Amino acid sequence: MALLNHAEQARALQAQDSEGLLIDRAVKGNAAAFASLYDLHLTRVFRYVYYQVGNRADAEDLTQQVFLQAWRAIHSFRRGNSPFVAWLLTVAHNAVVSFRRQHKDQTYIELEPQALARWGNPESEALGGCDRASVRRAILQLKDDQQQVILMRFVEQFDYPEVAAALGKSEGNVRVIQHRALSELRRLLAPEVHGA
Amino acid sequence: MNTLSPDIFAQCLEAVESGQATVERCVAQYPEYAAELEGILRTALALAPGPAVEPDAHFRSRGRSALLTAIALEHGVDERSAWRRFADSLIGKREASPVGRPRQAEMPIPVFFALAILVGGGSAAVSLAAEESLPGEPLYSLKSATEIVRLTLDPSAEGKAELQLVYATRRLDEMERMAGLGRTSRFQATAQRYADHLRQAEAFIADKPTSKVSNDLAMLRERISRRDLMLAELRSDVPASAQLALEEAISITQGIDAPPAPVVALAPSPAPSVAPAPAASEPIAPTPTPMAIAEAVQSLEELETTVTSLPSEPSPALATQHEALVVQVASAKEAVADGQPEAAANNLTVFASEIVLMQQSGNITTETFQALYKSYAKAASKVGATMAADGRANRTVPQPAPAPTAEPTDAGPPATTQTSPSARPTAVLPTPTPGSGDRGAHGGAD
Repeated sequence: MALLNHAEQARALQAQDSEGLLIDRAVKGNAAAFASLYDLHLTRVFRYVYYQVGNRADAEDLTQQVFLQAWRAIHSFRRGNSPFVAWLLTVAHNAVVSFRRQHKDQTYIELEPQALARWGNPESEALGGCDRASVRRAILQLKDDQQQVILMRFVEQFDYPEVAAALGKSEGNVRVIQHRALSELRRLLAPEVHGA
Repeated sequence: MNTLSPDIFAQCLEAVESGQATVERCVAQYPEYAAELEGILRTALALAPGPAVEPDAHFRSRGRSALLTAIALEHGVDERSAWRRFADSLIGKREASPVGRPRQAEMPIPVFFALAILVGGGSAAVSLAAEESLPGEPLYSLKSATEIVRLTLDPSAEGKAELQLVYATRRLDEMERMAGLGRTSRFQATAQRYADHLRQAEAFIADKPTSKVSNDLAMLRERISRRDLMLAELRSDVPASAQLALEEAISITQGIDAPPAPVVALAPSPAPSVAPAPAASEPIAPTPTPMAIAEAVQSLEELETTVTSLPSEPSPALATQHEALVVQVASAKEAVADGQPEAAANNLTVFASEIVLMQQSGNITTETFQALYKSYAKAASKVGATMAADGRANRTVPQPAPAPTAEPTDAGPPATTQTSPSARPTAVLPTPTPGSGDRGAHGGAD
C-alpha cells in the first residue's frame, strides 16, 4: 500500500511538474502551452461556471470567455500556494459576476432538468434536510465574496491556504468570510429545513 | 452573549469533515455556542460539489480552435510559413518582407473570422471576446461586422428592429465603459450610432405600434433615462479634453427624436447614415430544398475528397489533424442530410479554423491551404444556400458581394438594416475572390 501511495504521489508530482512547465511557457506567451492548460482544466472551469448559471449554452460561452481572459492575464499568475486551476476559477467567478450584472432580472437560474435529475438528492429532503437544489439557490444569493469562498471551499473543495492565495486574502480573512457566509446560508435555508 | 469565533468553527468543521469528531461532540465541547455551532456545522455539511456535467466534445474542440485563433488574432500573426521564417532567420531577416513574401492564403485570419460570423455562431470565444470590445480595440471591427451580418440574416423586420434595440443598448454600455476608462475620443461616433439604432427601431414601430418591439423600446427608453443621468454624472470624471465629446453624446442620447445634431469632427469618423437605404439586394427565388441539400452534400463530398487526397503525414500528430478535418466534413455532410444546416455550418467553422492553424504552423503548405479553402468556401456557400432556401420564400438574402475596399472606421458600419453589395461582405457564405485581400473585414486595430 505504501508503494502504491508512493507511486500515486510520484504521478501527482509529475503531473504538477508538467503543468508547471506548461504554465511557465504560457506565461512567456506560448499559445500551444496555454491550449494544453485549456485541455487540462476545461471540465473544471465549465462545471464551476455551470453550477452558477445553470444552463449549458451560457456555461459554454462564459467558459470560453474565461480562458480568453485568463490568457490575457496569465502574466499576472504567480506559482505559489494556489493551484493554477484555483486562479482560473477566480477569473471564472469574475466572468460570472459580470454576466449576472448584465442579467439582473434573473437572481438565479435553475439547473437544467437533466443535470438536476442526476444531481439532486431527494432522500435528504425526505429526512428533513435541504435538497441540493435549494442549497445551490441559497449559495447564489450570497454576496459575491461570500459566494466565492463557499464555492471554492465546499463545491470545489480547495483548502484554506489555496483559497486564500487564489483570492489574495489571508487565511484568517477567508475563515471569517466563510463563517459569515455559512451563517447567512443557514438563515436562507431555515424555511426549507422547517418546511415554512 | 457568546459569539462563535470563525477559528473555533473552522476547527470544528475540519474535525467533523475528517471524521475525527461528530457534530454532537463539537457542540458538547463548546456548549456556550451550541445553537449557532450546530446550525452552521450542519449547513456546511449540506454543501456538496456541483453536478458532474461534462463539456461536450464538439464544444471542447471548437472552443480550443477558437481560443487559439483568438490568441493569434490578438497578438498578430507572422504570416510567413515555418520554412520561410527559418530561412529568413538564417539571413538575419526577422520580419516578413513586404516584397517577395511567400504567397499567403487569400483569406487572412480576420476574414476567416468574418466568415465564422457569417456562418452563424462561429467560434463562441472569439465572438464573445469581440462582444466585449470597445471602439478602437482590435476586435471591435469584428463586433461591428457581426452586428451587420446578424441584421442582414434576420428574415423579419421585427427581428431587425429588436436587434437594433439590442445594439442601441450595447452602444450605451460602450459609452459608459469608455468613460470609465477615460477613452472619450470615440464617444461622439458611438453616440451617433446609438441614436441611429434607436431611429431604426422606431421606424419599424411607427408602422406597428403594438408590436413586442414597441414594448422593448419603452423598456429601453426607461433605461436610457437612467443612462442619461449616468452620462451626465460622468462630467466630473471625464477630462477637459473630452468634455465636448461627452456633451455631444449626451445631447444625442437625449434628442433621439430630433434630427441628428451636427457632428463635430472630433474623430476621423464620418457620421453614419440615418435613413435606411432601399434594399440593395434582391430576394433570391426559393430553391427547392432537396436540390439545395443535394448540392450541399455534393460540395461536401468534394471537400472530403480534397482532404483525403492530402499526402499522408509521417507524424501521428499531423495524421490526427487530417483525421479531424475528415471528421468535421463527414459530420457536416450528415447534418445537411438530416436537415440541420446550422450544425453543418458549425462543423465547417471548426474546419476552417483548423486549416488556418495548420497553415500558420506550417503543417500544410500554402498551396494545400488554398486548395482546401477553395473547396471549403464552395461547400460553405452551398450549405448557406440550404439555410436560405429552407421554405422561407420571403427571406431576403443579399447577393454575394466582392470584398469591400474600405477599412472599417471607429464608428463602425452604420446602423442600417440593408447594406450595399459593394460596401462589405454581406453574403451568408460568400465565395471569396482570390487575391481580393478582403481588407474590409480585417479584424486589426482601427
